[in-house]
Order: sequence, then C-alpha cells, then structure tokens
Amino acid sequence: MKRVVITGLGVVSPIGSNIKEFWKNVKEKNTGIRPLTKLDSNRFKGNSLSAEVTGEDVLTCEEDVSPYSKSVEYAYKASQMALKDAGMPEKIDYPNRYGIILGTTNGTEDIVERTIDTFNIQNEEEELSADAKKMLSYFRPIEMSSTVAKLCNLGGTNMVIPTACTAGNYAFGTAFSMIKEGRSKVMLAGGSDPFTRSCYTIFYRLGAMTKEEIKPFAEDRTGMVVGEGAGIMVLEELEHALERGAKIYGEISGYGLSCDAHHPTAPDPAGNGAASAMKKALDNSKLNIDDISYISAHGTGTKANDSHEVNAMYKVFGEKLLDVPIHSLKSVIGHCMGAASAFEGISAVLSLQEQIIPSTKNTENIDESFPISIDLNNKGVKPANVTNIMSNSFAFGGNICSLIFSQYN
Amino acid sequence: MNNKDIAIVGLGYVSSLGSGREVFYNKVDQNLSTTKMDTYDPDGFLGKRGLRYFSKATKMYCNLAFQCINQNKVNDVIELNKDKVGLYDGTELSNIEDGFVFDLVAKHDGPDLVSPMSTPNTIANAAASQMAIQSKITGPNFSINGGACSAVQAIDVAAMHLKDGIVDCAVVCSTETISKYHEAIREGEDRETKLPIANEYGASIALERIETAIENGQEIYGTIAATISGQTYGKQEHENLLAALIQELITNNGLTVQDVDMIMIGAGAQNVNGTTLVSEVSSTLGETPKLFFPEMIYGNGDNAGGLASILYATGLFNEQLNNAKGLFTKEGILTEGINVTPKNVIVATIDKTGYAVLTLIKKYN
Repeated sequence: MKRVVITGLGVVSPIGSNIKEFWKNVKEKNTGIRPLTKLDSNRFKGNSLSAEVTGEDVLTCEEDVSPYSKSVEYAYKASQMALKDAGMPEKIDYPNRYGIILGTTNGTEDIVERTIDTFNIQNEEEELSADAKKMLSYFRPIEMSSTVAKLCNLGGTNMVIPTACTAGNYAFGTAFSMIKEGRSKVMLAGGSDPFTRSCYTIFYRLGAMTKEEIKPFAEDRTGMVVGEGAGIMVLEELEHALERGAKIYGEISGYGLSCDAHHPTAPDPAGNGAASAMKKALDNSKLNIDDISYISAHGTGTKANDSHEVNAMYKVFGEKLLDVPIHSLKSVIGHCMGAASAFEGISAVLSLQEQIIPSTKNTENIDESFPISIDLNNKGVKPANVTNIMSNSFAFGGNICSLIFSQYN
Repeated sequence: MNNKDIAIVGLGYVSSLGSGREVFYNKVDQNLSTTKMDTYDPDGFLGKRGLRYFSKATKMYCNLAFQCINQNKVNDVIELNKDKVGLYDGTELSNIEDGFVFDLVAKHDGPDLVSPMSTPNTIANAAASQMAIQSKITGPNFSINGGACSAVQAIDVAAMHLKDGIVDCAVVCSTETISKYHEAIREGEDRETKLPIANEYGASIALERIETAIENGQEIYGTIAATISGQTYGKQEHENLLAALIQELITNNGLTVQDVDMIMIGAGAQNVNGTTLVSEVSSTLGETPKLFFPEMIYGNGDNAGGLASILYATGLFNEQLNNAKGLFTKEGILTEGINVTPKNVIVATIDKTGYAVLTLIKKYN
C-alpha cells in the first residue's frame, strides 16, 4: 500500500502569509481577529470583528489574476509557497500528472458581490449588461483549481469540493486516496475562501458570531468570527518523495467521512455523525484511541457546535478523553471557512515536526454541562511526544471529515 | 469485467418531460425537446413539508437520488447500513441564483432582513446534504465542482470510495438548474457553438462493487472500468489532451483501439473543435476514432451531460435505444451507423478551462 507524506506547506492567513510567521503566531497565540475592514461597519454593524488576511503585500502575482475570485489569488500564492517549500519549482517545468484539490465554502461568491457592486445592480428584476455577464462568468468554481493548476503547470486531476467548513479536510482526504490508488505522485490539497458580505451575513443571521473573543468550549463562549485565507499542503507518494530527497513533515494515516443527516445548519446534538467520522478515521488509519497524541478540534466557540463535538469525542474516547489534550486553532485565527481545516492541518503537521502541543487561547472555564471535562492545554505550548493527531472538521448540512496526521518514521 | 469494475445498478433522469430513464430514452429516440421545468420533484418524493425552503437544485437532487434508491434492489442495500452509503453531487452553478439574491438583499436591505432559512441554499453542498436529511443516509456526503466534468468527476470519487471500502453503495446525481444568472454566465463566456442548448435536466446513477452487486442480485446496466483526468499543460490544446487521455485509458485497461466501440464527448463539446479532435485522436491512435457528440441530441447542459451520456451508453448496451445509433460530427452530420450493440464506450467530458475527465464503461456480460 502506498504511503502519503507531506512535503510542502503554504498559507495566506489572518496570522501571516508565510509559514514561519503563521507558526510563530500559532505558538504565541497572537490573534488574527481584528476590527472588520472589508465591509461598511455602519451598515454591517451587528458585529465589528473579522479575521482578514494579513501580509497581503506578499500577494503580488506575476500573472494577472484580477478577473478571478480572491480565492484564486489566495490559493495560487499558498500553492506557490507550498511547492517552493517542497523543493519543487513554483511552476512545474515538465509534463506531469500532479493534481490540485481545493475545498471551499463558497469561494467564488466574491464574484457575485463584485458584479453587484460594480454594476450597481439593485434587484432580481434588473437585467445584467454584457460587461456584468462577462464579470459574472468568473464565478464558475472550477476556475479556482483549474486556474491554479494552469499557473503552476499541474497536468493531473483538479477539482473544487464545496463542502463548506469541512472542505479542507475533504480535499486532503481525497488527494490522499488518489495518491494511494496510484493516480498521482503529487497532489496539492487544501482550502481557500475570501471574506464576503454573504458569508458574514449567513453567520450573523444564524446568530453564530461573537462580538468578543472566540472561547472554544468555554462556559461563557459566545460564538465565532468569520475569517478568510488559503492553506495548501503538498502531498506526495512516499517513494517519490524519498527519490528526490524531499523534506518530510509527516504523513496522512487515514480519514473518515460521515454525514449526521440532522439539519441544514445545526449539528446533531448527540454528535453521532461526528463520532462516526472519528471512528472511521481511526479504523482507516489502523490506529486506536491510545495512539492519539492530541485532537485538533473543529472548536468554533459556538454553543451548539462545541457541545456536539465534546459529546462526539466522549463517545469515541470515553474517559480516555481526560488524557487527550484538545487544541482549537480558531481561538487565534478565527473561522476561515473552507481554509479552516487546512490551517488546522498545517498547524498539526508543524506540531508533529516540533513535538509540541499548541495551546488554545481565551478559554478559562470549560463548560460544566459537557459530559466530561476536557484539557484545552490553555496555559501555553507544551512539549510532548506527538505521534498522531486527529483533526476534526464539521460543516453545514452535516458534512463531516476527521483525518489523522502522523509522524513519519 | 474484472473485480475492480464498478457496477451500475440504478439510473435516473428528470426534465420537463418527466422522470425516469425511460423518459430519457424516449426523448433521445423521438428527438423530443425539453422546456424549463415547472416542478423539480415530479414524483413527489419530498412531500410538501418544508419544500418552500428548498432550492430547485435540492428538489432535483432528491428526486434523482430517490429514483435510484427505489430502483432494482438498491434500497435493500441502503437499509442494511446507511453509514456505508455515499451521496455525491456533481454541480457547477446550482447555487448561483440563491447566492446572488441573498447578496442583493444583504447589500440593499441590510443583513437583518436576510432570511436565515435561505442561508443553506447559498452553499453548493445544500442539495446532497438535504437528501441525507430526507433519507437518513449517514455515509459520505460529497459535492464536487469540476465545471463541465463535475458529474463524471463525482462518479470517479464515488468509485474510488467503493474500491477503498469506504462505501458499499454510491448514489451520484448531477444537478444543473437554469436561472437568469446561469444564463448570464453562459452568455458571458461567449460560447461559440452550434450545439443546441439544453433546458434543465438532471441525471443520476447508483453504483456498487461488481461482486456485491452480483451477490445482491442486482440487475446490472453496465460497468465502470476506469477513469482518468487531466489538465492542459502549458500551451497544450484541448484536443491534444483528450487524445492523450483516450490513448492512456485504452492502454491502461488492456484494450486496443478496435475494442472501443464509441468515444462519446458527453459534456463540453463546445470546448473542442470536432475536426481537430478527429485529427488528433487519429494521429495518436493510428486509426479514425468512432467519435460521437451526443449533446447534438440531448443538448448542451453543462455538467449534466456527463451523466446523460452514461445513460445513453447503457441504453445502447441494453438495446433500449433504437433510433440513435448514428455517429455524428460536432456539426451534426451523420457519418455512419453502428450495426452492433457497443461493448466498450469511453465517455469524455471537457471543461472550458482545459480540464478533462474520461471514464471507460462496459456492457455487462
């Protein structure tokens, strides 16, 4: 059976748009949550916080990607970084079947916003001009993966997986399967989403956004903050990586997919679907709960999500959960939609390298209504023997993916 | 057939003409044209409760999926373990109307006046997710954007999950609904094509591993042997990419060019030049290919065409199509007929971006 290793990482994020800065801010818990600048705060005054990409000065592209969604620009820059980090050309200079899979919530919705704003479209009845139609034609989601594939010269599979907030993990899992099946030696995978008016409005109207800090799993948690960005990994067949002497960060051991089939926007309170995905990920990886060093939680800081996630983890880990630290990156970086689980995966892989467990920010008192107390490692980064990390991600529609990153031996 | 083949055990279709694969075969035989749909769940699978909040694509997806589930013995397999059933949606623009209207309200009326009930429909995973809720199917729930290749790409992922044992049964649907914004994108692309534009339709397929399909006593409509995909590299032309992928698909599966009875450009035929394609494939394979452009018959319907061409091929395999055995150029000129029921068919889809997904499907027994 082919093994799939991670050989390159790239980020465009609210806590930095290079891996070094990103990782420093994860470890030091330097927040990416700042006052909202991408919307008019007089009109969108329900919540004044956001997690917007920082370091955009590094985003200058040689090629003109301006007609495309911002998600293309983010994904392209993160892909270039990841390829460079993997010791590969940023534009592959030989024919290949390397691929790219991008997860997103609604990554091209900014094209709708741009069309409405540029042409001052007032209502549904209004006819679109030829120029407006031209602009809108860049909405096609495949433009995300296909444009990056063309700019980086990736000649294999490419697709976009729009499974919302779990999409990054779906992309990692699908790329992992494709390499295992022998379809490709190298796959870029991750997630990308721009900050949009629609996304802000969705979470605002669902009452899921906080006006304060994100406090995952806390007694006094009040919600999430909408973010943006792109996170990309270079996944590679082990033999291919060894042959070219690549640096290996870690490997993917397996993943589990499920749907809780409960509600379009709310998770199953019992956590059955999430528990199923975690169990499948363990089975697929041929690991058991004792092998898990820590859990990278979805951990949004919303009442319903955190509660269902603890119920699910308790179903899988039982009392053992008392001994398994839990990290929520969203406490620092916000909820970056399709890029969320990509960032969480990258943080997990870096912690495998450095043999530490990152620390969750803001949470002081764990919600006592949970069936078990949990260890959020909230005092600071902890050195540990980190061998396997379970990364959970959940989405609207009950789409769920748990994935296990392991130390490469 | 080998033990890696995936069995097609269910087929579905819906358009303004009605629902069911026979409706599709009749449309093709009679060359019937469709119009914009009035109802997206003509079979009433969803009942009336909550329907007003469902998007058109969601209703269409649920109709197509339930068609597959209620066919053959698919439901028996699903009832055995709903955690081992996957729902897959190949889609391109199914959420654009909902997303556009949502953003208009958010901008002009303010975020407080947007209905929270409309939020799920703005995200492309709404259709397959709602089907899971309706059917209590708890296995993988997967939506895929691959442009004109979306449906065949979704089949590829589903087949991979079947081979890996992630699922025991997969239901794959394509849901492309028409809206003024969908049409605006088509116009904005400046498509140069003589292909007839299809009005709304969707198609679906249910899949099992061949050995379990036989064990379960399913009627098998055909098998999926392999899939291949690729993106144009550098300045490579679409036709050259297709020719290379066709050759690789044939060679990798131990076939010769003579073994392939038909190559169907099932979706995205507007993205290739028919004459150039014939020339490229001929020069790569050393033989004039039996190319077929079925969108000349069922219309250019974006990603749904990939699944429609699989319906088409299974109709030919099982002699349910009588009047459509001609080979056409892209311009619609009948060049020759096929006198035998095909055994091996390549379904090719190609997007405007130069991305192509091809699948090799075979007649069963």
